[in-house]
Amino acid sequence: MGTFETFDHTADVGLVIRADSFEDLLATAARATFDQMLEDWPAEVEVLTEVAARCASGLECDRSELLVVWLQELLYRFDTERLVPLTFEFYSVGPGEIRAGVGFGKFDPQRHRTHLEIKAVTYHGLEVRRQADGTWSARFILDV
Amino acid sequence: MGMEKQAYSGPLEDIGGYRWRIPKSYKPGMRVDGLIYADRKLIDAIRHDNAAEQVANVACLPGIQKASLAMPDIHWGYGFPIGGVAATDPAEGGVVSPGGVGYDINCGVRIIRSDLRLDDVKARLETLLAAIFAHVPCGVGVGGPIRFSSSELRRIVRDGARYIAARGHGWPEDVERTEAAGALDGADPDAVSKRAYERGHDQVGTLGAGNHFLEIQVVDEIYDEKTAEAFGVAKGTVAFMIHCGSRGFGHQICDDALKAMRGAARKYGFDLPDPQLCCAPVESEEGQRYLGAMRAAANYAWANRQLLMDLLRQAVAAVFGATAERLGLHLIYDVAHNIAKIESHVLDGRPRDLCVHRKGATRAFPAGHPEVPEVYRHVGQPVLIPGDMGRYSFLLVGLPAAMDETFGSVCHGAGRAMSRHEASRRMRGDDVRRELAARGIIAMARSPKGLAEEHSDAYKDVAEVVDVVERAGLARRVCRLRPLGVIKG
Repeated sequence: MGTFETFDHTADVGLVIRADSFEDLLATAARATFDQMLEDWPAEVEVLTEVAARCASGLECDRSELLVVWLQELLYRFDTERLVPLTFEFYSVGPGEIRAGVGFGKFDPQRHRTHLEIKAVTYHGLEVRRQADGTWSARFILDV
Repeated sequence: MGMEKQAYSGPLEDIGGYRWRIPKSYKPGMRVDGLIYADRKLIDAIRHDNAAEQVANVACLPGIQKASLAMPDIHWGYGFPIGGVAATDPAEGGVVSPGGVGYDINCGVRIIRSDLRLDDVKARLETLLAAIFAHVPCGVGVGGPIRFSSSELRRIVRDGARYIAARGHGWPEDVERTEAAGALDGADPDAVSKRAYERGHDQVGTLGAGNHFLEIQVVDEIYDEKTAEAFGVAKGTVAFMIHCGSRGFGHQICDDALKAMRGAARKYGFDLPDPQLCCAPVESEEGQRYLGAMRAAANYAWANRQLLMDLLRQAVAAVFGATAERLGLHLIYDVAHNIAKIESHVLDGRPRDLCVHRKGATRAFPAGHPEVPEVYRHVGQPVLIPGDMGRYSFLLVGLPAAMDETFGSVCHGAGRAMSRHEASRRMRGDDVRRELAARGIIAMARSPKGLAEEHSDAYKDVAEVVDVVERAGLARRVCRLRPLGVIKG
């Protein structure tokens, strides 16, 4: 698993992610995003399912866009099914979509303490880079 | 860890009367001037981030009229500054921009008066707050009290607060005392994505988290007796304020629109200085689709605040063993501060239908305006300006100058003075709770960390913001409200 840190952005939260591979970057970004929402995490995987995150048709779908649609998909799963992503197995990444087997824990508002509500993953200053040493980094801001 | 900020180094001309101009000669593409309302102290703070540059960028939008306006609580936003007002003329190719509304479509405020006096509430404050906290869903991932079916959700997006009130969760007068009578015409249920419906299906009647809140307040200062009387407020009486929006439903609609409009500038042949200002002509297919969906989200937000108020009334009534009617729990007003609306404004001596974006700005129509509820038409529209949880909020009334200059708009709040991280680094949730308690304020929150991030010092003093609005002649102070109890998600 890669690493992440936050950076200040007035009313919102910025995240910087570093990882050895793009797949690891996606998993770490998911972990970092949900870390802003939750103070307590579900202890175990209760639902194992395939997640497909797709870019909108007709739009350029680079690695930055893939990262955004991936996080949007996971936030949607939380909003609609109260699912928290815990484990990841990536089947395919690009072009145009990410397919992964994700192990989710179930969020229970009575048991799990929470922190911020994330409205959206924004495009402001969004960056995904492959470094000279082959590792990956990403930088993005969550509107909270 | 560092604050991402860029200071503004462009022109800001003091043209007097708490008005600062960014001339349209500042950068290529500006179609009108920028105009910021501020005093010298606030303008110095405004220079420290890039919000003034964003005012200049908004001045580049096709069809923009008069000026790109900014209120004294202006701060950096995504494309549009928060505290920005921009009106475009659809007949001149004017655009609508999702960034000019924001992710939380129809985030807004409502205030409920009561006949309860400070002494009635003081002794039972903790019980009252606990009862409301238990009855009003708040926090991340907490669903609402009613699971609406798909067909009911479509009614909500079409009829907003009217539908909720008609189902028995409110009084007929509530709707009359809500901006747009609780629902914008032209909401298009078919323009809303399946995902938005899925995200919104169990969030009607939920407060959420972040800067949203429910407060018990006491009216501690009256500035304008006649208007206060018209609004039903008196010194020493207790009021309740709700700040909330359209929840995941609105967030998804904004996300969808940002994708749908990404190529619109190229398609319709105009340049934008910042891709985040993405927009489409009001009259285009993309513009109409967004407006239809945005109105649906606005109506969802009014329904949400209506149901929250119903839950609040139930909790207060239960604690005092009397009906909400008996306790005088009347809605004073509900107003949006993130919205785009087609409104009629007089420009160059003739009325024109304009698309008015208020991104962190509050409508403030004066006495006599037909959209001001009849009960307030002789004094003007109530304007709700929440402050921070440790100091005060204000109730203002709109004045004719706002109609003449700012498309009937004023500020929307205090604005943050420090980042969330900085706020929580300085103080923990329990410390904030203790500090508030020392001031006689009880706070309850699902997230102690979130409470720390929202503490009083993290916000600017809203009195300074309101002072500028009043001195500039846009609105007049009616009363000040001091918090007694605070609920945060």
